Amino acid sequence: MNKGGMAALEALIAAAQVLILAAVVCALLVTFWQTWLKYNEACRQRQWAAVAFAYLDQDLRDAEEVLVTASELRIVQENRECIYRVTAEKSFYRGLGSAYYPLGIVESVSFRREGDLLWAELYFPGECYRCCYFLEGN
Amino acid sequence: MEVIMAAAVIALAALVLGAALAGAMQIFRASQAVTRGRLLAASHLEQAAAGVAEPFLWEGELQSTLTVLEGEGYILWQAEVSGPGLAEPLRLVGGP
Repeated sequence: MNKGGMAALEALIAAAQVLILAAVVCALLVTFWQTWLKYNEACRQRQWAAVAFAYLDQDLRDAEEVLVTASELRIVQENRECIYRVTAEKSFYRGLGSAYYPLGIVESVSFRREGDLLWAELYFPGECYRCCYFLEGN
Repeated sequence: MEVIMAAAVIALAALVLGAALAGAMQIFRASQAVTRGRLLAASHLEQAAAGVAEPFLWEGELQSTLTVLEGEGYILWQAEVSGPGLAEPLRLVGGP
């Protein structure tokens, strides 16, 4: 092979190696980014659930009456009423009078009463958090 | 030579990034286990207050064990949660 042909072959091999490296870098970055996004979303859902259960716990402590239906939870207190409900856009919120406190984007929410216990379950895509509360005298 | 060096640098960077990502995942798993464990223990204590608690309650791979702590004139309940993700058992104490 002459000198020119050798140089062209070397340039071709170098270009191919650079392309392979670029492909590997892109694949790595995409993998890291996807993993990071997935865990970030799960972390946000965990925080939403923790805050929602903390609000629920606080509201149920002062409850005079608790009304449970398939789609909403209504907590009647001495001088106010709280409603926990999911909108058509899957936004789970706490309604207090005319105020609206969004608690998170959920797949669905379930409130279930078993005797004196109230089970609240928050379903997110791929995750579910639940907690129960003792409704004393309600 | 330059290509080999570039490949080595990229491999090193990927290794560091991978280690950082693994660490972040570990922190996430631990925090998720703590949140789930805290909810499980709180539920177990609420069941105890309602008088319907079993000695053990499960949520996924987490297990809560309820024990009664009796002292001079008082009774308390302790829910102890253990399972994967929790380096040490998580304890929550409540009373009637």
